[in-house]
Amino acid sequence: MNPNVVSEEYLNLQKAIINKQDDLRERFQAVLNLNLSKNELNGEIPVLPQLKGSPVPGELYRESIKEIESVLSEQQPELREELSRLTANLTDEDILKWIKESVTYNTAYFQTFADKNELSAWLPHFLAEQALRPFMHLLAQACRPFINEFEVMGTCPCCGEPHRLGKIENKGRKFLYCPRCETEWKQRRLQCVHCGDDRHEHLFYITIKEDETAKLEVCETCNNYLKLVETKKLLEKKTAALLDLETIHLDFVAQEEGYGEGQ
Amino acid sequence: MGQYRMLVDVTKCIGCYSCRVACQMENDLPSDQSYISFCEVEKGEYPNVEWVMHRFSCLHCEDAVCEKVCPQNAISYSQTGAVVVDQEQCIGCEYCEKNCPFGRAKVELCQDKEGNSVSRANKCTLCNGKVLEGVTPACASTCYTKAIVFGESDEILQKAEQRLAEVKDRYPDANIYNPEGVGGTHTIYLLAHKPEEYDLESDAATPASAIIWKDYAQPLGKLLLGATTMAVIGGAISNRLFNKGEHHEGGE
Repeated sequence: MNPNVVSEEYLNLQKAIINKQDDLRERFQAVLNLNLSKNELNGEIPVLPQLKGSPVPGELYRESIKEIESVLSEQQPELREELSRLTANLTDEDILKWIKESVTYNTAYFQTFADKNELSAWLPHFLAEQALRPFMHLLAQACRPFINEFEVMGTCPCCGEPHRLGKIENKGRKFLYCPRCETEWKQRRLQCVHCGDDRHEHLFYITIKEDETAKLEVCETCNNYLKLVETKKLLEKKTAALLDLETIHLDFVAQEEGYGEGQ
Repeated sequence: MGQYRMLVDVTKCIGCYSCRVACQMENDLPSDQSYISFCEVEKGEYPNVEWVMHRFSCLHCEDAVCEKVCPQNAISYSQTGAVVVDQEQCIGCEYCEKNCPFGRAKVELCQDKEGNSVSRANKCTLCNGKVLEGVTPACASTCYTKAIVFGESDEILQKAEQRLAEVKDRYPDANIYNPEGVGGTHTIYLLAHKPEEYDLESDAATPASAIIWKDYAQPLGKLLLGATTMAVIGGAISNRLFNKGEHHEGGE
């Protein structure tokens, strides 16, 4: 039995967006030159907040918004009017503000923006975040040669997203996998990714009978959890964003069991 | 959904039996039953000895004899390429077991829904249910040495050719076992030696009798049945008309 709780329709929408983000990443790769030097970066802080300039040029971000909008309009025709109203009124100043606020994941800003422009509350932030992802992927690519040398506790060493997904690959090694920037980096198998506790008596797995490819790794010290996917059991290679979405049922289980931030 | 294949690379198999245990667990089989058997042969003379071994299960033929001979149409092809048995339809007649060119279909005692012991065809399903949900078969995900790999059909055939080229130096007789006589199979083997040394027939093929039975005799039989039925119906109508006429005449 497939334990996935996300509707087929929403999964297809996300897959279409992910495909578009891949296209955009390839397109922008040719024009965007992110030369990062490991020596200029502090290995204990995520790369993104250390950058001197923005890794997201305004013009390319506008192009990304347009492309994601076209996918949304195609998949959800009822949003077409609202989306075209939203993008038609975006000024250059708005674009720069959107880049800044989406990088810092400022939900409150986008909520206010939606209220002011009489838009659905979720739409501006959703569009802004999805349009940002190709740039995050490019940043992750630029960091790949040295990212395993970073020691950042609790967040993605590239974009600073909190940990929520990991994978156990063919040889049994554990990698953390960021759904926002697709960075993967090696992690000790027996260690909580949130607090660093490596006492085995404080770390447990929660498995779900219906799910044979993913499980929860929970820590009794910090009361937090990580979703772990055994990728060797999957027939196709999936992006972190898709794996994160397909394992939402594990978030429900973890939170019902009292794990997670604010629990 | 595309078609899938499994590659069993015997040059990597260490005979640990973990695939067999995983299969038993997956299919809830007792310890004395399994869809996977092992072939172990000692070759050569001391000090040049070799232990030839490999795991063996249903090969999932493209042109499966078991599917052709099953009188209940209980055996069919899945969209993944696996040859699967519908236990609800199977009557345990053993035709599949007796006709399988590889001796892989087995009729065994199973329990039906009411808990009664019944004879049913039992064989590897290539974990069809799991594959339909995008999950790798139990044996392939358990195999530590990666002697069993599973994936899209063409990709696996390419992988087999690539691996064959790699082992040719070490095993000059190495070959890919994918018998054309049964239209190719969805479980293919990279053998280090000739198929006969693993108790495999190099010229395994679908018997002509099965082809004649399934592809000609059955459709023809249905056609003839149609013709016979039409003749009976036609006869009944004309007879009735004839009798009616007689009755009418008699009535007068």
